[in-house]
Amino acid sequence: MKLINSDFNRMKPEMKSLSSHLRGNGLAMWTKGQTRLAVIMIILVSLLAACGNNNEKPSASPSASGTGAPASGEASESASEAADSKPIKFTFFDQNVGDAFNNPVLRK
Amino acid sequence: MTKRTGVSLEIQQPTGNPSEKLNLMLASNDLSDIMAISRGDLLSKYIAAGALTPLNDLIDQYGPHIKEMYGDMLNKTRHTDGKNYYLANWYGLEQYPVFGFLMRMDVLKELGATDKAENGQPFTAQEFVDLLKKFKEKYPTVNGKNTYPLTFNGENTGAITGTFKGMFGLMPYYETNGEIKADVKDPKYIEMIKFMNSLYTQGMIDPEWATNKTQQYEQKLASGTIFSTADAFWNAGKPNAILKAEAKDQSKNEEAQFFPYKVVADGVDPAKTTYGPKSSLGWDGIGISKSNKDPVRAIQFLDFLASEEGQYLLMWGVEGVHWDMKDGKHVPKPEVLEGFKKDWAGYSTKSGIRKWTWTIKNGPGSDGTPYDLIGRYETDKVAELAIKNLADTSFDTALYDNLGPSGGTPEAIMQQKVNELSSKYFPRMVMAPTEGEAVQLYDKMLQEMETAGLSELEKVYTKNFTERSELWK
Repeated sequence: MKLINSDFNRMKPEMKSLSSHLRGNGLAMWTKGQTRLAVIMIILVSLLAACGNNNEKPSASPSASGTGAPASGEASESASEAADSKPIKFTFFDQNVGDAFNNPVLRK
Repeated sequence: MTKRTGVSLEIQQPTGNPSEKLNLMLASNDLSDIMAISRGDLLSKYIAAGALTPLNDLIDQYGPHIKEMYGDMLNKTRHTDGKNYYLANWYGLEQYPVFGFLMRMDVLKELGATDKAENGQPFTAQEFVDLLKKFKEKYPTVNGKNTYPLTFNGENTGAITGTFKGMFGLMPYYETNGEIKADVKDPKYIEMIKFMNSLYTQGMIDPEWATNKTQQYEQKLASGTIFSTADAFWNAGKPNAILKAEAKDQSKNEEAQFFPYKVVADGVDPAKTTYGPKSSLGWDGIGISKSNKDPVRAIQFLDFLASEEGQYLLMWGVEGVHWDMKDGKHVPKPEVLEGFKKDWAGYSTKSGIRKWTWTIKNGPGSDGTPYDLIGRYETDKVAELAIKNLADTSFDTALYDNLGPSGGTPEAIMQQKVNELSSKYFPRMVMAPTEGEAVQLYDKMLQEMETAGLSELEKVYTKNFTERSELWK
């Protein structure tokens, strides 16, 4: 949501700037129809920007549960999101020394 | 794991000395993407060298389960700069027994201690000594072999001192006047040595104890010539299986085993014995290296492992294959429990269950079943009595973990010398011909430790302890 909001906020001044520019050219007197058209344009461009952001960074989007405390069911949702991502391979160095007093694996 | 996360792993486990391998990897900047490193000096070295990625922002954005499950543990695993660089591999406070005096229950009853054999009441030091003496008198030999009331595993000095320190309520360090001193300086330490020495000089301890190898020790326990030992209760598993199988009266074969008991030193509050040192922060730290090109996917992967679903996957296996959900509870398939009983390591490797102990949390999941299927789901009679007799002696050692000096410093060499002196003098003090000579050896040991730099080391312990206490506030 931060990405969408930031883009949306960034665009509003641009539209204000456009409005000022039009005023400067003697076109400040907008009709109601023109105003409606401008509002529709803002919404359309905002939606397009939102789609663009989602397409750019799918793997970077946080889980749907965000940073709030997750209910147990949310684990699946988060995992599914990750599973939808492109497969990736990591190298994992496991020292696996263990501690005989605390490591239950060594309790044989 | 791969199916649920899209992440596959190439596991790298060192065959030789892991410290050498880790040092080499750091020096050559040839780091794995994710690294599980023993908590302590080497892990600190990796952090200081900037080889691990700070996790705080990653956890904030992509680690909801890590935040939820680890909770305050994240606060405790912060580095001195206040940032988190690793996740504890096995964490959480748990009241669970560790050390104790293991005694044959059938013999205990024969010797007249029927009431305390199963009622959870501790033995006084004198009651324990009387039992040892009675055993020696009643069974001078078994099957033509000499008997000993007590023996120890010479390869596991930590278990011997852990048990006797527990009896005397000794902590990992001696805290006095706001300073952290070595445990040998605790006045109770020399009392412990005197007690052990008195057992030895009275012929209660196997004279070969210091050179007993693990296998030899287990054979002695299983032979019927030993009444008691000082150890973690799970270390008698093999001898207990033999004693149980060979018990003359099979209707009471359980009682032929070694069971753990609390013995309390004179002047020590039974509630303040320290038989159960356990760290709530585990023993390894799992970090994401700077070489990892996709730390976001890495933290998402670790977040999945840390989640409840990940815990059951790591510790119970796959639903429908290794366990089922019945009436809202995880229920293991019988063949899984059987598989671990028959061949723990083999079944773990084959099934993947409990093979990788990363991000494991102590305690139960939301349905009340323990995450640790094999360690906590079923308890045998020995573990049941251990919990009854000794669970209350469990304490968290996290505040004291790795207080020593950093590797490569002059203090690290001092520490090594002090450790060597401790190993050298401990058996000598226990086996000294008289108490007076034991005390003389103790004084000599302290003197040599001071020459080796013990006071300097204690400044390091105090500084590290104070900084950690401040950090954890």
